[in-house]
Amino acid sequence: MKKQKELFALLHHLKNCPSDFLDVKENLSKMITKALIADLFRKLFNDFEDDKDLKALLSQLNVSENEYRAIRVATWFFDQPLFHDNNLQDGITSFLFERLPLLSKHVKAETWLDDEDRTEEFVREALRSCHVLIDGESEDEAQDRLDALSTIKRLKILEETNAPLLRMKAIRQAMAEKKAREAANVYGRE
Amino acid sequence: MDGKINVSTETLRSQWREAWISARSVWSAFLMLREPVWCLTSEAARKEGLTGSFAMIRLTDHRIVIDLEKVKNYGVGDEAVQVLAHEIGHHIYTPANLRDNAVLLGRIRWSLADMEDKAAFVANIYEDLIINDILHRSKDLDMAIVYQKINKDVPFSPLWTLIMRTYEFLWKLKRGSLATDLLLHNDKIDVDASLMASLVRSYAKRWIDGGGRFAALMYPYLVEEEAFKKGMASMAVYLDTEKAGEGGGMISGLVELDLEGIEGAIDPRTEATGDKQPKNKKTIDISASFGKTDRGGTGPKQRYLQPGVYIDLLKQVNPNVDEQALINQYYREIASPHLIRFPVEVTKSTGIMIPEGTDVWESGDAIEEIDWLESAIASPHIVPGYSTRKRLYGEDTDSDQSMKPLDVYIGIDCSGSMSNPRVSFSWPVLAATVIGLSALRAGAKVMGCLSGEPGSFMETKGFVTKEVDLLTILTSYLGTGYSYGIPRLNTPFHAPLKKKSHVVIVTDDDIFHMLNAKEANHWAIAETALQHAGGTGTMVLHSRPDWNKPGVKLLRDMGWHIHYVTDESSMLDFAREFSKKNYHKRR
Repeated sequence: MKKQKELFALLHHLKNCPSDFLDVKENLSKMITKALIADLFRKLFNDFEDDKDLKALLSQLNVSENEYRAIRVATWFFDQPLFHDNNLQDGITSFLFERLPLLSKHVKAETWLDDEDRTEEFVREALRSCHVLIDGESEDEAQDRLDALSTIKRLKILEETNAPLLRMKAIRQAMAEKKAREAANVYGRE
Repeated sequence: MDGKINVSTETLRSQWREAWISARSVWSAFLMLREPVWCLTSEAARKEGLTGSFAMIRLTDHRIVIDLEKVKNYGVGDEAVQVLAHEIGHHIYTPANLRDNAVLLGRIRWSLADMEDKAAFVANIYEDLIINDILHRSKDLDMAIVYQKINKDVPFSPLWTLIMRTYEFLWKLKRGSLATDLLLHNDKIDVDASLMASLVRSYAKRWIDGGGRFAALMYPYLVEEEAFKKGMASMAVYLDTEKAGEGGGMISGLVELDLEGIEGAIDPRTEATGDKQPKNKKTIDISASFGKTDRGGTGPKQRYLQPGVYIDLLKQVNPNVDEQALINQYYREIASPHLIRFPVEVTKSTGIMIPEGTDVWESGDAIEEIDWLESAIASPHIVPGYSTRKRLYGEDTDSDQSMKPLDVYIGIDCSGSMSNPRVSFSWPVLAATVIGLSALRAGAKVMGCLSGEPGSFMETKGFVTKEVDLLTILTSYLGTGYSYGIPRLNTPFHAPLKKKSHVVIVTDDDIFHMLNAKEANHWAIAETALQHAGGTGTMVLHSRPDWNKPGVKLLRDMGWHIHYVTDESSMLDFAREFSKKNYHKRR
């Protein structure tokens, strides 16, 4: 039960992200996102001022509005004691600037908070970037669960399987239409 | 306790009776629902209609039936609260009632092209997922344990693996907790289960709206007939609502196309990858097999299901329902918006005041109103306002004008040139239904006759007053001969009628071959019938005014009105206009 509580605590924390993190005027979005990242790193890793890589990343940050919104949600998520660990800096940086922008191409920022599976995917993606495991869960179990939830993997599988499925449906629908027409024609007008 | 070995069904019954109270309070302490029918043996359960599973619901009498012998055999004796709360959920949440059950089945059918017969099976699984998820996550009941126990005895299939994986997703359980046959796991099932779990959560409150999408997700698993059969074997023990509507009454309001249902027949897989297909085109494709075209359905304003599809749906809801009753209901519902007050004949009558007992005469009343005899009978002492009585009068129910509707005879050409109203929508039958039901509503009698001659005919036993008698004739089909048989008019109109009747015959150009036939003088029959009917006669001809002009002139000279319809849908306009045109001028 402890394991589940840990997972649920993380999910709960993410779901409680205030709407202010999403509802930012577009012309201020970039500036506020940068400020939130800076605040987060100051809070988690006091010496981030010396991190030239992060400074460079921040100065080059130029992504879509949806990605800015997702990054702001992530700054909320990482702002908790679990991530007060200097060893996690690389993982958090990687999630914020690499993994999350990639995922955001397929998922709307608010969906991370509204859809339970996407919330769990977000949490597990963030934890995997930081190499953190949920209590009581093995690495394989964590990977299996993430694979099952992964939006990117799901899209890949659906793209592979949708075409034959649509063909099969089309054939069956055509058969059904033919059957219906034949039935109607039996007693059709002369 | 190991219910499988140690406990007798009698003991189980008393344990489950106690659990019944807890199960009810899971949903609401104020829930009023009759105690389940406890069957100590599977044989007794069979007599109650329960086969396959150990529990089921009946929407017809709001009962739950429990097979305690099977409960014992599956070892779920300790899970009484879960099982009973689940069954209660079917009664109060989904499907809850016969109508919602039917609407859900209708929506599911839109997504099951060529496999509509599996709709009840799909609906049962969908409803189970919705209820179990609520019980597990919102009501704190451990539903997983029920599946863990029963799954020991059921064969797994890809379909059953999909359902169990969905529960694993919903309840964040480890892989294999419920879907125990790991050999059947694959990425495709995982993806579908993930989509299914999202769908169940998203549509938990609007579960009817999610039916089409859910069925679309299950579609490929059902197509694999073998997988379906295996799935059925796995799920037989869980199917508790498949027969929920059996023996129920007629459900109204299902004739019209369910546009929301059609729009909801979307595959979540295509939604997840981004819908690249134009929405309208997809809707048309999915619904084409149900007779819906890009212009809509069938009947007036193309708003209705094809009769065959309607019958299939309602028979799925209730396999015991009479097909004739369904087809009657189909045309009755389509006719309903067009029913009007039937035209009436005005006759003079006299109204009189009649005494209707006595009441206390009070001091403010007119002195001449006192009935002295009644007052004396009430008391020998006259005390105004106490023992004084006055007589009350009531007006005779006759007004100075009474409304007397004319009867109507409706003859329909049911020869080979007419379509079968059970297979495809029939405008002549709808028009006849509108006229017939309007007449009945106004208190007139109606005689209906289907005729396809030479060959056969069907008619009501004279002029009738029962809807069912009339509709049963109107919605039947002969498909014989070439026209309406004029000699049929001899039956009601061989002699002058005491009560006047209108005559309406719906036919086509072939009626002139019938009138000119050499076997008998059909022209004379037509003329005499109209005279004996006493009302007016109308031939509704599916023909053109420039055809058979001499024949038309002859009919008009006899007093027949000729109403041409060049497309069948205008028959409904005729039916609506019929009474105004022919009766108002007779006032």
